[in-house]
Amino acid sequence: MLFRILRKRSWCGLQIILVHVDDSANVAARIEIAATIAIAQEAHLTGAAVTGISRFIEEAVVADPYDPAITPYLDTLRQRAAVRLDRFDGQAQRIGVHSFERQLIDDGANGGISLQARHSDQVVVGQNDPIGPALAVDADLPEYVAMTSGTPVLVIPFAGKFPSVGMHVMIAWNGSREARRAVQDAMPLLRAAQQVEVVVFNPAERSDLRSEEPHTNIIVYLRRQCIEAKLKVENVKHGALGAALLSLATASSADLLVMGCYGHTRFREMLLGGVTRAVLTSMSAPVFMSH
Amino acid sequence: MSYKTILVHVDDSINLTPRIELACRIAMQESAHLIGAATTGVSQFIYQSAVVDMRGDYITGYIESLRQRAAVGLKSFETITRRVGVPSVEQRLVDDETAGGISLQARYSDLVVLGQTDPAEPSAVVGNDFPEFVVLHSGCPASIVPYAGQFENIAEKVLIAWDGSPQAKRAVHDAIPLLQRAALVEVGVFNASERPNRHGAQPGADLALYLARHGIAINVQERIVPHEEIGAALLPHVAATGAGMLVMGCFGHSRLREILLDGVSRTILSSMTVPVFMSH
Repeated sequence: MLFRILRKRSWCGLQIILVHVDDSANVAARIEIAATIAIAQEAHLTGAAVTGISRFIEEAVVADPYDPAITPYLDTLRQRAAVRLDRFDGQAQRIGVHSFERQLIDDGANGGISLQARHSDQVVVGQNDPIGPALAVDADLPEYVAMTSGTPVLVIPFAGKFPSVGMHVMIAWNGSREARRAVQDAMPLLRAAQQVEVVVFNPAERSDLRSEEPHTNIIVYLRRQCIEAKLKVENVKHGALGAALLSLATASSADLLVMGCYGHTRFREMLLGGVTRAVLTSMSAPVFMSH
Repeated sequence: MSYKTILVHVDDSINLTPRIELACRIAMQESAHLIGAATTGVSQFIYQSAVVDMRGDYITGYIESLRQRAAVGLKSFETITRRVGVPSVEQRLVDDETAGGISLQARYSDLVVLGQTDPAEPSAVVGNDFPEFVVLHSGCPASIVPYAGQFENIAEKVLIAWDGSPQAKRAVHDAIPLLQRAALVEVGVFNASERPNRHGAQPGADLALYLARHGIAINVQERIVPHEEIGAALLPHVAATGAGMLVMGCFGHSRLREILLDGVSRTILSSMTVPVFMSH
């Protein structure tokens, strides 16, 4: 992994990074990225594994968690999570993270990671693998955490190797509240980047981008935060934005995409925006999202 | 991150001066660029509409008078920033309806400073739900200054209203530059037992650890009050701790032409006595 180790320029950068530790195929790559960022940002790294046992079990009158009939079952689930955390410990130590800890959470992935995320500056999770999903992990974990925790999410693709993350960043800018959040939350990563590109699609269509000098505002805002960014304006067919964004990121060999996560939470389901959904299913590089 | 661009809403209300002074102080502390933005209150969409002829004498005269009124506020902004000596200052006269216009400008700022709605002084350019509209739509944290009073030491003692929600997390995270300057940070947790899953075994303990890593020490106090009185209980708590600023999440939904706020946000926005820092 080739990351530029940076002296902390801001006294308010990333301090706690949370990484979700499950049994998916690419979990080692995910932990490595989280660990490398933690070292570069001088941040504390927490590896969190969930057992899948509902946090409500303690309150449920029907199931007594100390009932000898179910304790062996619960113990197995906890042991499995502990084994994953042992691997996390080993990896964090090998990579040389100064300050790290493990958290074994009695909960499902969505609830457990989202709650723990509230006490972190950034959460690293894996993209859902439609072929071999991780055990006890809901398919909508990345968007669930992004939408409900108030904390930004770094999503790592379920396949592939990522020798560098955040050297060449592409920001998908549309002037919205969510995009603004993502840019602000990504500031510590943007400062550490060598190259930052801002891409704006179809500025004439977006009322959020209206003003005398539409999308140059974002360049000025970034410059005040000591980030020099290049602007790229693209016009594509509506409905093809997600695909256009992904191919543009690949074409300019961006190793990190920063964007807003658009959607609504409904009872037990998420309604995602089209571009967000397209990126979350087809991404080939890590994606940083805020809501 | 620290605040590098601060936006203050400038209008013709009575509490304009303390609002600008507060924005100036934060801008000086953070070495930030300060933008004073005044709006005409005329929707930008009028310029696009074919029905209205913008060259007509009647309408140009009217818009000119609105621009002049907005310029009056910018004049006081200029005087105050010069007196305080803010090094990097900018004025903007925005031809737009106020809530939407300021929300858009706020997307390119790290903090927006607004005035509380004064029921006794209805504004010509601002609706009653202006502060909450900007908090909900800009994605930018807002510092809302009460319509009466002087606020010298906002960041000396700070109270965080903590309920473990994503909105409260946002507010705490966004306020970190101010919290790091505070001599004392108090955290009030109300009725933690109502939401055991959010708080864990010891309410506020996780927050204390999180903020400690940002170099901020906190004092947690738990209170139990009837559910519908949390907002009303928060205000005397602010007074009792001597806090100069309250940090909290803003809870609400926007519906067509109205904003549905939850009880606590509504109570605080109508009865605040110190500046309130809010994020959504």
